[in-house]
Amino acid sequence: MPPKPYLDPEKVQQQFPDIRKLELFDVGGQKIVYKGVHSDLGTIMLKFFKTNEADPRIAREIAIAERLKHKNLPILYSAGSIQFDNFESKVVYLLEEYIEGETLRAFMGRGSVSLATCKYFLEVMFSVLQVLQENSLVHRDLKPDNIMVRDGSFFILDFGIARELGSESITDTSASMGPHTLGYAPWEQINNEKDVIGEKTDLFSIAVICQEMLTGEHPFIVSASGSIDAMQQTRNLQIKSLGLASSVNDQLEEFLHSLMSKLPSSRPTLQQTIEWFNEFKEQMI
Amino acid sequence: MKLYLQFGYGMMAHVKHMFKQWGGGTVILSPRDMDEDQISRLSNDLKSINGQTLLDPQLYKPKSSDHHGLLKHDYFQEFCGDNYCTNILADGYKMEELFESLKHLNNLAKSDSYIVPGIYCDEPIDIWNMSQKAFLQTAEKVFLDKRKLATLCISSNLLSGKPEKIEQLIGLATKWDVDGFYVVPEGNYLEKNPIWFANLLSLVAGLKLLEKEVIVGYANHQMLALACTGVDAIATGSWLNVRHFSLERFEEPASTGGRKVPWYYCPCSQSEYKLATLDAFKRLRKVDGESIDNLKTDSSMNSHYIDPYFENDIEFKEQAVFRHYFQCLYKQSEILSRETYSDTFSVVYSLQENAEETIDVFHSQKLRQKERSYENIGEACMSALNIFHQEKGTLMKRYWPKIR
Repeated sequence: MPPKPYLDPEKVQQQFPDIRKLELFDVGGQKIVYKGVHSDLGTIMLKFFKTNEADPRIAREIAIAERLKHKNLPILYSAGSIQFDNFESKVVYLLEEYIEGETLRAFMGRGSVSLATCKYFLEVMFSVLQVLQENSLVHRDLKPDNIMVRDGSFFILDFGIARELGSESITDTSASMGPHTLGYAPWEQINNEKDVIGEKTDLFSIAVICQEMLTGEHPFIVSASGSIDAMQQTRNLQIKSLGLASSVNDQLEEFLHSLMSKLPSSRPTLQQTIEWFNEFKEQMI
Repeated sequence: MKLYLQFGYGMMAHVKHMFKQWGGGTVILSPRDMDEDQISRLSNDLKSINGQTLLDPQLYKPKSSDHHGLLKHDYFQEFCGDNYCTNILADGYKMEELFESLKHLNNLAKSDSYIVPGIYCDEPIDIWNMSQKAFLQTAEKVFLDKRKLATLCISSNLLSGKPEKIEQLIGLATKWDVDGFYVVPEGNYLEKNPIWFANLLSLVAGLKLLEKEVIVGYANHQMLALACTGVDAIATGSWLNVRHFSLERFEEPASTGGRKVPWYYCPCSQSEYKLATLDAFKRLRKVDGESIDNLKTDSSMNSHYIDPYFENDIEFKEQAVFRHYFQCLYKQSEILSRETYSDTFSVVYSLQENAEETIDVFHSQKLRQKERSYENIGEACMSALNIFHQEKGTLMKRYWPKIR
């Protein structure tokens, strides 16, 4: 079998003459990602889907990227398909803004994050979630590795497993487990409870990340010996105290722990979450 | 939380009497126990005493139903008689006919809202949801002139299972375009399973948090604890078959039953006692020169139906015990409805603690009767309430003003 043409930077360069300094950036399960400098757009990400254009997941991801407009989401410059020489089918690509900076994971690795930064983080996340809600979408993969930090602001990446609420699932609905990242996905997502997954699923992940930012440790996964162990801890959901030396500790803990409730019906809706957050956020200094 | 009456055999006179006492009220009518003429006459009578009605279509499990009371109604015949087949769910025209029949019955009943039929749910799976949606979509077309409440008739098995299943149910119900829900929980009369009760509390609270109306049918005094979910009303009736829901009642012809014994409800102990038990206790206490006044209902309940027994030793009958039960639950529902969640939870919890303490006192005085005693369900109630408070307390506290 010949090598995939999009794995060869020279061939990619020929197809995209406006992009300089092309370098292979990441090879993921579904996509090959290049970084480069576009003559008009500046630094960009060029993503090639590994599956062919008939894959409905590709159409979904492109449709989502085209619909979502928010200052904390990378800009989609273009999307399309191209035919490489001697390659049997067309390859679908996305040309997106490159978010310079570091992942939230790396940012957190330098120590716990201040309350003021977390306040801003939550504001950004809730604002993005409002746009997702307007578009009937759930990200389903919010985690520190999918959030970039640039100049003190936060950007959400990777809508690869986002779910469009109300539309037919294009993942295997009979699968006993849904796509997820252990430690950040709530139980309904791991369990593939498609009728339960909604905005509260993303709110759960945001609360986990926020507590992790503030305390420097995961709120409920404690030295898991493997994925089964981590899953068990997610099921048990023994959430640690926030333990901040701040007057806002109790309010913030009640808020975050409610968002991390195991049962989605025990979590507030996005609208309720924002109203609740607004009640005490100014104390997060 | 309001107390509604659940219509059943022999309820006609009770409903009229209680609504006169209360200056109004709501009854959930049962086509199983009434023909069209009775429905029409009762609803006319009730209007003059500020009575309101709802009509439960009782289409919980059509296929196996051979209940004669229901089969005399057109809509039930349409769906459940010999014509029954699941194809009707996919036949828009037939479904509209069925709903037109139901609309006619609702008009006769002068109902305030429509209770949209719902199929018994043992598992919130696609096929069940499809049937619910078929009903709700037809309701959208035919039931245009009143509010709509979706029926959630839930199996005991489902209520006794994993909380995730309840979440699925809430997840599905969230997407239904209705004004509220009519919850029909299958279970024992006085349920001993704490999980069953915790799940019911969780389900009702989950539905209330959608800021919709929720009515729980086939309820009894154990369900007074639902006050802490912000439920709008619970509905109870006279005989046990309308104080708890059992599907069997709708699968088999009504039994003529054996001899029925009147039970006196003691609101303080949340327990019921047979006349013979009370008589025995009276004799025992007499020996010690004591009365049984501590079993008498507190005047705050404003129920005097059983006073002749306590004051003059006059035997009580069914009519008195039923009306006493309704009056006590009516007052208890009122007492449990508080301005804040914390106050409500606290008074609901106190009700349980008081019942336990009162029963301990009764035991020390040698009053023992296991059957229908709170001592059988006390642990289940307390555990369920503790689970509920832990899981939902924060949200209930915050959103109480919006949901009640």
